[in-house]
Amino acid sequence: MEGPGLSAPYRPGPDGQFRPYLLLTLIGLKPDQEVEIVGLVDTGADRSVLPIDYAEELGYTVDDLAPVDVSQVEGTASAWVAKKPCEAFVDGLPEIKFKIEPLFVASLNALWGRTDLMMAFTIAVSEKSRELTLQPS
Amino acid sequence: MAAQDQESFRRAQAKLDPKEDLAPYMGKWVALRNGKVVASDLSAKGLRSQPKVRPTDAIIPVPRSRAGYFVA
Repeated sequence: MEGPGLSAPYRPGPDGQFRPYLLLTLIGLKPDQEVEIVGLVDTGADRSVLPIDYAEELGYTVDDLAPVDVSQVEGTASAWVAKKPCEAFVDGLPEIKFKIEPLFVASLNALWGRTDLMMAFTIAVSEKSRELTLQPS
Repeated sequence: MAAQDQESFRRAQAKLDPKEDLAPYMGKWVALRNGKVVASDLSAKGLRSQPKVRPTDAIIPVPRSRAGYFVA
């Protein structure tokens, strides 16, 4: 892909606020375990964060996860990091695949972070025009 | 980049956009079919076990509030 990149408008969250959400497909530990996940693009997240229920959806078992403590605005929290990566692509751009080792948390928020999505794409966010733009890295 | 690429990208990204207000389901998981909620549950596993949920339905969480900033 050449040129200025592909853009998508902000989408409303359940609270009605528009934010830079992005739809990704994650391919779990077995090839038939494809899960579409809407997450918030978050440059403050070192890595992508998913609700713990997605671990089972993606084929992870307890043995595939390691417990860790994470820091967030509200303080520290318990989380589980995947020992094995799964593959992912941005819906609408299936030709560009990248690895994600998700951090699973006891929350319903999905965040796309820097060490996976943002290694595969340079992402620009325009609050003024309320859209995000992706350019392959 | 062709305008066609831009349009198909936007259509792909809008695939799971709900066609109804999800605020009543905050804190739960919902099954969406054609953008409409067909079932809800406190867990994704519980939702998938409901008879009215089809394997092709989108299963998505509805957070209570805005995400925090993780610095894991």
